[in-house]
Amino acid sequence: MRWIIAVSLAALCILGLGLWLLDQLNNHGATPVPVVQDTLSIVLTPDGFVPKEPTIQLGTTVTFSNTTGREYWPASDLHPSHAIYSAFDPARPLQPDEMWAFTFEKVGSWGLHDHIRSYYTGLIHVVE
Amino acid sequence: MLWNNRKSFLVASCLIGVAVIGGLFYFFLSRSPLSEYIKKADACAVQFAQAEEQIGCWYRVIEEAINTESIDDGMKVFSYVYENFTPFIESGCHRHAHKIGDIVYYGQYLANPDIDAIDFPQSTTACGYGFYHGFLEHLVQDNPDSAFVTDVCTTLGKKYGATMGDIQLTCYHGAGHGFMLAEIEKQEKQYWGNIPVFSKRPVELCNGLPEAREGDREECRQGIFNVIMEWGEVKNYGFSYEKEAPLAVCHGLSAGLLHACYYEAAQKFDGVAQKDLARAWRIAQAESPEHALMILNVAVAGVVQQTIADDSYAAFGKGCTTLPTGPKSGCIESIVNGLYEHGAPTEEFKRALAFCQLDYVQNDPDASEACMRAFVQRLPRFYTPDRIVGEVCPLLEGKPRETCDAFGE
Repeated sequence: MRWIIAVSLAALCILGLGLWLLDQLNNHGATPVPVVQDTLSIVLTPDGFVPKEPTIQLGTTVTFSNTTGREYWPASDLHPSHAIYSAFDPARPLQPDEMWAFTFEKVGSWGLHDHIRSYYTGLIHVVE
Repeated sequence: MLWNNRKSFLVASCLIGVAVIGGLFYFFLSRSPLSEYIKKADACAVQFAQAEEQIGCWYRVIEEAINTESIDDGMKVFSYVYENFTPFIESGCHRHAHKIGDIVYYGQYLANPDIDAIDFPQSTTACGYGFYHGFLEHLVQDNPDSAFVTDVCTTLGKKYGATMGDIQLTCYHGAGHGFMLAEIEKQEKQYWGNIPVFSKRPVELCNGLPEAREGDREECRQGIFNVIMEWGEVKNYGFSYEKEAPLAVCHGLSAGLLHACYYEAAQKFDGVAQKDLARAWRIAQAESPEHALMILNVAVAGVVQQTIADDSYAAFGKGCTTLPTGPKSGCIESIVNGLYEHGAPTEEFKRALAFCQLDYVQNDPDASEACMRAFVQRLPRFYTPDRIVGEVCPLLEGKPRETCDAFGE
């Protein structure tokens, strides 16, 4: 009988280990490692901002441009106050072919949106 | 000996079985999709110190829940955040519900432009149908056409009208937002801040809605002025208003626009009267006797939004009972309406009923009657007939109970 109990306990241990590993993978292993860039161009396309969630270094100047053919207005979240990173806001609509540059001088993850079509969103990670 | 061995074996097997089943149950329960998003929502409150950053984080969690699971799961996370984090309530849950509408418009409608292909759950009525304001303002911004709007609103009315009593009216309101947003790209800078010029074409589109009732068109016009007042709040496109005199933006407008303008401007009126209802009533009467009652009512509902997080609307509402009979009833009704519009998603009626059961309301026959009338009338806006009859009506007695039960017939 003892061997049955021993096998059962071993099976339980293996199952527990498997579930723990799965948990670790879900929590940590699946997170992609972002590519750190020192310059960046973000384009508002008809499908949204591209790239949508980049990682940049502190002090990087990001240039926004647009291929939708319509006016646009990239700005910090939240909509419509833009108060999270208030300097990150051209404070006016940009013409369809107009570019606008902003230098990120604060570390953090900064949500952005198009103030004219607030369903276009993105997230810029700024790292040291 | 044999019995002892068998007994040990059975006990050990049972223990292991219970441990395995319990472990698996705990593991899968804790890994259920909703609990994952709730953990992430909790983490937002820890990771960020500022309310706006927390809110931005919650938006992202809700967006992930919608895009990965369903709209209803996203709304469940929305409800969880509402119930557990006061910054979310204090900043006005209606505007947060707008954001959920934005997310669904972008993630689902733009991916497959067929409104019939999206199933909108009952939970999307939360926070005064803010979801639909967000969804529809962009749908109409991208399709600013009266016939298209009537088609969409009729479709939504037919599909959801039996369980979301105000879906069609809400649709026309959202359309007004959209007509106005579509206009901004056409206006030259020299006309910024000019309400008659900016609103001219959007108002024409609202007034030209085919097959719409006058009430639908008025909702549409209110949607236009809602956008103008929000621009005034953040000083966009040359618009602004004085905190001490927000109603002044309506001065000089044509008669057909005054009601819509006052309705939306009155939502910024609470600061003027500083929550003093007698003063608010005097100012509203001086501004426009014809619109005074509506101005007061809208302002009162606005105050509820600011006071719902700490339930201080109950003390504020006592001021209603000091007003003359007409405005008193309207004031009480507006508190009930405000509690529905800004209350806990899917559970709005609980706070509204608790308000009607306060001593100062029950001890005033006019106030009590107005309160219960508004309480019952508002139910079909948010709940299915089955839920009204099964869950809410049994809480009522007398005439309110009879009226409530009739929703099930």
